[in-house]
Amino acid sequence: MGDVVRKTIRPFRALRFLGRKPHTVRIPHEQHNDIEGEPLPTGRYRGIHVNDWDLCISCGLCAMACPCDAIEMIEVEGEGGKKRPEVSYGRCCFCGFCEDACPKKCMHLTSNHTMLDTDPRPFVFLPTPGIREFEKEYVVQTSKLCLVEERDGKKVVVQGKPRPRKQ
Amino acid sequence: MVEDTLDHTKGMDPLKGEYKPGTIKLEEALVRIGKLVPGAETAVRRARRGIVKVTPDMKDLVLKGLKEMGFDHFVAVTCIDWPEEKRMELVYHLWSYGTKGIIMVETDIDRDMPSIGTAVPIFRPAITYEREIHEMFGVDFPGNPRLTQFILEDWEGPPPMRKDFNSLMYSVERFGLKIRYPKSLPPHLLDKGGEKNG
Amino acid sequence: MGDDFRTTEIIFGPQHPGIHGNFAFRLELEGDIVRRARVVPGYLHRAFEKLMEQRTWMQNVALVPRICVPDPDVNEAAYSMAIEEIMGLEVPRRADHIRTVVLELSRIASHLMGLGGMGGAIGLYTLPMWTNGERDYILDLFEQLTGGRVYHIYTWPGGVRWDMPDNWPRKVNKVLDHIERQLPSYWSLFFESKVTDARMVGLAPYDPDWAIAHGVTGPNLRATGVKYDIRKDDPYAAYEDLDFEIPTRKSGDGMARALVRWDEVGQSIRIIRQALEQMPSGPYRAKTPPPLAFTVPPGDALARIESSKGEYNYYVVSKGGKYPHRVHVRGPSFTHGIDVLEQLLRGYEISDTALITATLDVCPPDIDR
Repeated sequence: MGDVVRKTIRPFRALRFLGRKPHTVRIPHEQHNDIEGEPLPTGRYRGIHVNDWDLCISCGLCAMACPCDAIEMIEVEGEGGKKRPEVSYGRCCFCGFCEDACPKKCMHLTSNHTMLDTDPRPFVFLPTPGIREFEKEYVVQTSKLCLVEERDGKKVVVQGKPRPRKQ
Repeated sequence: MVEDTLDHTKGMDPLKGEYKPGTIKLEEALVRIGKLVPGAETAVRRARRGIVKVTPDMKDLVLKGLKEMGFDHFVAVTCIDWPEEKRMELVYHLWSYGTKGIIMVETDIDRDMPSIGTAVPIFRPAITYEREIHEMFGVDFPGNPRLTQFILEDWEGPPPMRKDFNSLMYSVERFGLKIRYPKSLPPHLLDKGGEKNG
Repeated sequence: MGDDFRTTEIIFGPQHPGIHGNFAFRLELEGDIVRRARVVPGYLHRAFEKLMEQRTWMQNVALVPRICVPDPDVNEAAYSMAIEEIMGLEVPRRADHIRTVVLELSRIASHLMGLGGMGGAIGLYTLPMWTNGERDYILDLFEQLTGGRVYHIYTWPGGVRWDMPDNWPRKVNKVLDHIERQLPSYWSLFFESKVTDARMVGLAPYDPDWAIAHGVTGPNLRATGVKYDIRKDDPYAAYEDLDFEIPTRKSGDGMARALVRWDEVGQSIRIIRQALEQMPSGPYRAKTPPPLAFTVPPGDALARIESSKGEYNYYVVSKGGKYPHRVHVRGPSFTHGIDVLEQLLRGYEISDTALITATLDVCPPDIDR
């Protein structure tokens, strides 16, 4: 009898959850923190690529190390015959081997991870230092990514800036 | 029809006692198997790993003998394709709870018409492994009651895990896959004119 | 098939509660009772074993965690251990301890998800909401250590990829304290409920001889009383230096399988705390050949790991050279999910199908790879 009474009263303890903050984090209106309150993601997070064209020597080791065949070396007009890596996000698995293989430490994976567009074309792009400029925004603007197109047999930049403007 | 060994409409036997594992040592088990089966070569690879290499007709004798010595946990059976040596190798992995060791039983079968007797009457778990090897490598296991289609649906090509099936060229021809950087892929797969694609 | 008009065949489709993945059944029902069950796997086949032969040894580390979603570190660790055995490579002690911490955190996350799955199959959706919320803290920890929340690509041949951050052990202890405080709530929500007792006690029992004869391993076997765990019998990583127990139960039914997983969460918390306390200093990677020219001498090796679902094996065969010759992945659900499940479903109602699958913790990506 006491058991029945206890098991009838006990479920009402669940009412205490009405006064608590929900577990869900409403990104991007709230900041996602870890258990000690420090912000996430950290610098180690493997997100969107960035590549410094001033240091890149177009050796192609990033393309050779990629397990998903996602990187292609493209010869861009205006770069003096040097080839630049173009990453396809249809294939990339964000493992970070391209960053580890780069001998000049110019290819990095930043902690940005959100890129939205209804057009599939910006998801095959050339990583450039321009992405670091808008790292503070939550969503990476696909209209600022570096895209190339073939015109008269040459690959020409049609969108985005390959290099940051010199101050 | 596959016989099912337990009918739940009748319930489990509550008077079954505890499980009693075998107690033989790994090296002694290998010595005994070497004596029992003619033509068997045995070796100890490292602690808790032993190997027995036999001809395919002796396979049933070895598996039954090992099961009686306490190697009753059937871990897996693997098929390996060696096209240059014109053979396919089957490796049966068995573990014993009492001995705490693995014995790998290796046999070689012919590559052009691969076929070997089934291990299902001795070890029931082999039924699914043999079904998968039949589908992926084309090996026939006469006596296995479930050699039906397993994972691949509507597949008309050759057994895909064999080395002569080039899955990269299949994707290029059938689906128009674009190869972005040929040097990141194995060169022997691209030999058949793959460099010109994409 | 004698009485054709007594039974109806339905397809219990690939999306249903109680499963982590896509997995269908063909059930022949007489009213509500299942008379014959046939499993339809293959929805998640991605041909990993063939793909692994076409990528170099180090590139495969990026492929391999994708084979099992709830417990991905087991794949990386088993693959690395098999290669290290063929090459004769000695892993530094610090890397062994870090690997142990990562494997045990992955085990806790997988058990929380598994218990939630059992709750979801009964209809108690509060439990999966709570346990997946706690699992989120563990994924945050993984992100701080490895750079990825679910697929870590962190354990590779020779050791681990980076060292632990300095404040990470403190955060791990905080998360473990938080989980330990929540455990009594889960107990009173799930295990003290009369609905759970009515549904799970006596559900699909089997005895130890039947289980071993059919290839059942892991917590499903420990629920029948066989005290067997690869961490004690065939040790790897740092488990020989750590002190823990192996929980078992006697009855072999659905409730025993859930209780064994519950006990294992407590044991894993104990293992992680010890491993962090005893963490030795030193290098976190051994000297290996450069990744783009990584060659392994000819040979073969079998690496075995106790994952949260059962026994996980990797059999790696090398011919010398830059590419593997054959990698065979044996997941625990290969035996649990097909032959054992088809036999255990007979005689039970259709509403118990998802529940039996959830108590056996069948993970379809293991079957299809």
